[in-house]
This record gives sequence, structure tokens and C-alpha cells, in this order.
Amino acid sequence: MPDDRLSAIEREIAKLCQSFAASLPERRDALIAGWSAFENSGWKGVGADQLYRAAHSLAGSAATFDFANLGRHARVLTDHLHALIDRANVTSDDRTKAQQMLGELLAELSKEIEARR
Amino acid sequence: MTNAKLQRVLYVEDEPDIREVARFALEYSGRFQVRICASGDEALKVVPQFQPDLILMDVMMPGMDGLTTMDELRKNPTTAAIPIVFMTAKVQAAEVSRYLERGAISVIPKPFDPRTLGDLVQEIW
Repeated sequence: MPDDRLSAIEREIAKLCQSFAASLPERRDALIAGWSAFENSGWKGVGADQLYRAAHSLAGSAATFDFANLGRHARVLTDHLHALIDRANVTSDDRTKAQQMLGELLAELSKEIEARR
Repeated sequence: MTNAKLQRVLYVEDEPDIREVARFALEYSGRFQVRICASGDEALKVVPQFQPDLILMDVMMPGMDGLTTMDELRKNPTTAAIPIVFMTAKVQAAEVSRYLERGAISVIPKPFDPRTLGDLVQEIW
């Protein structure tokens, strides 16, 4: 592919990455709201779905926009939640682990948000 | 998969950022006419008119998910034979097996690299 075409692609991708970066505060809020709903729902139903969707969305998109670490943290949380949602009994250890994973994801999100201010 | 040329691609995705980068990546490859839908419901309306050669579709979408959308498309004789590829972050082995058993021809894992998406789609075809 010619160099000018390649650089045009890179410019456009950079623009899309900036647009994704601008959505990070909203995504952080969605995770926090999802966690609250998750706890209130007793780990089942709408709350679980809300948190899972917020984490899953980041897991599937962040690395496409050059946020590989964010994607990795989101993937870890998503996989854990996926296992919990299918399980009949969720232990306090499961909950603590999920909270810790969420904390690490939120910390990474905050780092990326701060870096772009 | 086929000797016919892949020209018309429809992508179904609820995430606006992913929709936009995939649309750009597919169009910029210069090979495909691309149409985008934001939901399974929208796809059911658009597919019979657009008649894509290939459908790329997310699995986990609010409302009608990708698997249900695929089932609905299979019920309509005008859309039943259109090949479907799932583009999803849900790619554990059991999940992928389920998509293929239900009738998808392939799975593209998310996240994807927009620089190579066009080539990947062409390879699957």
C-alpha cells in the first residue's frame, strides 16, 4: 500500500482513538453504576447484566483503540463476572475478587483519563 | 469459501466507536460496499433490501442479540443463505463452538486491528 495511503489510515485511526479516549469518563461512570446495581441486585438479574455489559464493552474495544492495558483489565473482570453470573452461589471471596478486579480497572481508567487532561 | 467476489458487507454492532472504526477499516480497504446497522432489529429491516454478500455481527447487543438475529434471518427465504461471521469479545472455546454450530461461518475476535480487518474478512470469504 502506498505510504500516503497508509499515513491517511493512521491519521483517521488516531482520530477515532481520540474519540474513544473522550468516552472513557462515561465508561468509568457506567462501571461504577453497574457495580452498585450489581450489589443491589444480589448478583443476579439486571444489575449483573449492567456491570457485565460495561466491562465486556471495554474488553472488546479498548485494544482496538490502543488501550491494551485497559482491555486486559476489562477482560479479567469480564471473565470473572461471566463465571459468577452462571453460578448458583456467589461467595464473599468471589465478591472481593470482583471488587478488586473492578478497582484495578477503574485505576487504569483514571490513569488514562488523567493522562489526556 | 466461494468463488463469487465479496462486494457488499453489512456490519451489525451496537457500540458506536467500534461501528465507526470497522466501517472506516472496511471502506478504506477499497474492496467493499459497506452498510452499518446499530441493532439486530435494524439489521432485519436492512438485510432484505441491501442483500449483503456477507454479514459481520456482534453477539452481545441490547435487545435482539446476534444469535437471535441470525435465527431470524435464517427464517426469511430471502436472507436465509447469507453467510454470517460473528465479531465478538466472547470467544471462549465453548462460545465459539456454539456460534459455529448455530450456523455462523467464522468468528473474528474482538478487539481487532483496523489496519488488517479488511484482509481478515477477505480471507474468511
